[in-house]
Amino acid sequence: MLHKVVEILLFLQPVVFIYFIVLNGFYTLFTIISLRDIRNYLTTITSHSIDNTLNGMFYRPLSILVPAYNEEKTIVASIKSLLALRYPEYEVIVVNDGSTDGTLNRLIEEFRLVRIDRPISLVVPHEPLIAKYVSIDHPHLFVLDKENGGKADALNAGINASRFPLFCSIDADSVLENDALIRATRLFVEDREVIATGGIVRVLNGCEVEDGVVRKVKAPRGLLESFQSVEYTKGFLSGRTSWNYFRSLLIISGAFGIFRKDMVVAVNGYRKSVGEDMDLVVRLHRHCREKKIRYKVVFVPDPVCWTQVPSDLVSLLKQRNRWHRGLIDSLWHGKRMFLNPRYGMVGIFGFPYFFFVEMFGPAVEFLGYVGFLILFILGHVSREFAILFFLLAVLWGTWINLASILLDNLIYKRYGKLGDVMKLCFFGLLEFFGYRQVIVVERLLATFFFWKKGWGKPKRREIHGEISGSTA
Amino acid sequence: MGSETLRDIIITINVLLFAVTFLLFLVLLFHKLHVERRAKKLEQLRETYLADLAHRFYDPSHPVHPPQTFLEYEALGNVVATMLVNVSGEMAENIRRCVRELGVDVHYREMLGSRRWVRRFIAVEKLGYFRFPELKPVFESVLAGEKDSRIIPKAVWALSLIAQRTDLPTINRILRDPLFMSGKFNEYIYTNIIRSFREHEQDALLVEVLDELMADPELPVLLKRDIIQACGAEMFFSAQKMVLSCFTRFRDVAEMRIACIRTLERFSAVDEEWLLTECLRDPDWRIRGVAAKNAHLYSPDIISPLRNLLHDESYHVRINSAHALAKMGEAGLDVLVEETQSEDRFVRDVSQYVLKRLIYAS
Repeated sequence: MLHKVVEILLFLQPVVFIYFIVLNGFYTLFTIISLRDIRNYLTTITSHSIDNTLNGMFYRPLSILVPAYNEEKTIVASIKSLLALRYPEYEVIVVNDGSTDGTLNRLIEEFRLVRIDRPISLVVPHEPLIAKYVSIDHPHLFVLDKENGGKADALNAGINASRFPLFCSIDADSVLENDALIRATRLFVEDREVIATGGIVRVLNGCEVEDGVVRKVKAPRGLLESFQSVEYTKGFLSGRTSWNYFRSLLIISGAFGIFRKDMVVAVNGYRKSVGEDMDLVVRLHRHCREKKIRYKVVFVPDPVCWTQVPSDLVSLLKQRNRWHRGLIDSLWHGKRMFLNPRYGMVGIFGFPYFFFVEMFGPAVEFLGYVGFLILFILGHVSREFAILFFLLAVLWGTWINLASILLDNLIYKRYGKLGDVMKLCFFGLLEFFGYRQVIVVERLLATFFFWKKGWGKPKRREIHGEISGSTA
Repeated sequence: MGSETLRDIIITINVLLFAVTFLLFLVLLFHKLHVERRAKKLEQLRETYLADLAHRFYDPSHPVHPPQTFLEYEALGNVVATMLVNVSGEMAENIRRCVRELGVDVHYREMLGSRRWVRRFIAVEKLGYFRFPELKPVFESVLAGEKDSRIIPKAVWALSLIAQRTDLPTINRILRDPLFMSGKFNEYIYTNIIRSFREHEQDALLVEVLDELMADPELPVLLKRDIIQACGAEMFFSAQKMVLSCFTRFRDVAEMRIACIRTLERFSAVDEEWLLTECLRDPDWRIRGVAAKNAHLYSPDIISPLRNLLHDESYHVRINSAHALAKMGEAGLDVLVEETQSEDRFVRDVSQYVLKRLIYAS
């Protein structure tokens, strides 16, 4: 029996090795592309061009949709920051998705909400509304109170209530940079083909926040938050910029994305899923390709959205579990695009990448760790070879992480202190000694329970002072 | 492959990776220091140039340090661009004189020859802000020879800021492409053109030119729509007659009719009530909706058709009509109050909603 297992493991090791080479090869390629593209892009975005848009008449009005479920600790600061954004014409629609805490009461007290029977057109489906409110102090703030139906459902209710041709979905625990909207919507004005854009989401933990505005950008203090900071930098600055380059961007973060409402309505709004953000983008690609509509889904590296990341392991694992289930669900739902040339680069490159590398990645990586360990224990791999291979993985991974942190130097809301950058570098190296393996195991577990719809919501901390993160 | 060879290969790769990673770490740290130092230096230079140029407004003999390095050119270019966006007349001329004296324009013209698109992009943008009439041939040559799709819109923008009659064919040649940029961009370009003509006090000539454009069968109707919208955005009242004639001429193009109504409303051309009444009865709900939105600007005679539109099949038309009625004084409010008792639930809801908003607002 043991002999058979060893045989199988020995047979699978080359597969794992090829996966390792392909994965790191892609990341290396992505980093090199991003280094060139981000630098060029940000050089062309001058403060004049932003001011020009702000002072001019050439913008597209937009509705900000904030789905909120049990967000009493963060909702007020988050909405205050949204009400203070620099944008010529916008409305904020908060959708209280059947919260069981004091979210609605806090909103009513803080923004002097009054009930109003605003007629709403029903263009996309959602759970019934309980009440609608408007703020006396801020006439462009609306609150919808509805029965619980999940984030996708809440966003659909927000879409129905929105008045403007663009909408921005944002998480209730996030803070938008003052000029983020103008930077993110600029492309909708300049390019008729743009149907969705996403900005960069950065880690709020550690930063100094005052009145819903990030005053000082600092690296997080905690271990887990620092690991996540490196991950976010890599994921957004390196990953998404490259998907842009290949015109295959399949994810726009639910924490901050802007969409053309008519296109989202055309695909019947959000679908109830734990990965509703990716699912929507996949369906938009599919719709536009099938209807032969010229379109662009774009990542823009300069609009910044700050978000709280989990500061304890349980919350982090729940979040990663949900992300992986969302990924599988979205890919399964859009399976007809897989390796289908009808869907262009998305079908023949983006989709297979997410399928093989992101979806099956954790299984292969886990097999690699376990297999290698068993073979090492049974004496089929020498200690020297084991150390050498581990070193290879750590060094290559660290190079990729450091290159991503280099990208952070280029963006305009970067970490200011050299100490912060060195800290991130250190965590970029440390990631391979336990953190990565724990995340892989959780993602693997999620693969086996992909049908589950549980959200696993982390508890939040108030957004004020130095943010220490969300806890379970 | 023997295990010894594999071992040697992995060792070599590891040594290389270690060296590259360590090097990258050093690059990262030095780059960080460089970026922060550069940003600080740029800010200092910006403040110096800003103070010097501001001093020049009052004392034309005040010396401004001529830029030597790339960073100094960048700082001065940024300051000049910011100032030229915010000032006009004598002050702007003063700054332009200074730009010429210091050779800033020459620096950016040289940059146009760069092989890197980013540098060419920056050069076109900066030169655009300077708005020197003598740069027209420069922008035209960029438009004629440039292949990069990111620079062409910038050059169109730069040319539009100083455009005169002879430049319009060049600009329109690019804007007529239905896939180029967006309608909003076209509108933006034409507002620049209108401003440029008006700065030269050529309103009459501009009307003539616009008339010709509207009659041009080669020009796409959607570009014509953008031009009309630009007239509205720039409050170019002299174009009112042209807009009215376009409303009739392009009767079967909904986008054009919408642009015309919006522009006329911006002009407060409320004596053209026949036009509004016609639009309120239009079979296209988009036209009815746009017409209803600002119907309160017209005479109280419009109340009756607006009341009918409270029963419209379109949600947007109903809500726009109710808002317009709410802004029409007591007569409009009376209608809304009466409609709160309507048998039609949609009419009741919309009337109650608008009235309630008014109460809360007060």
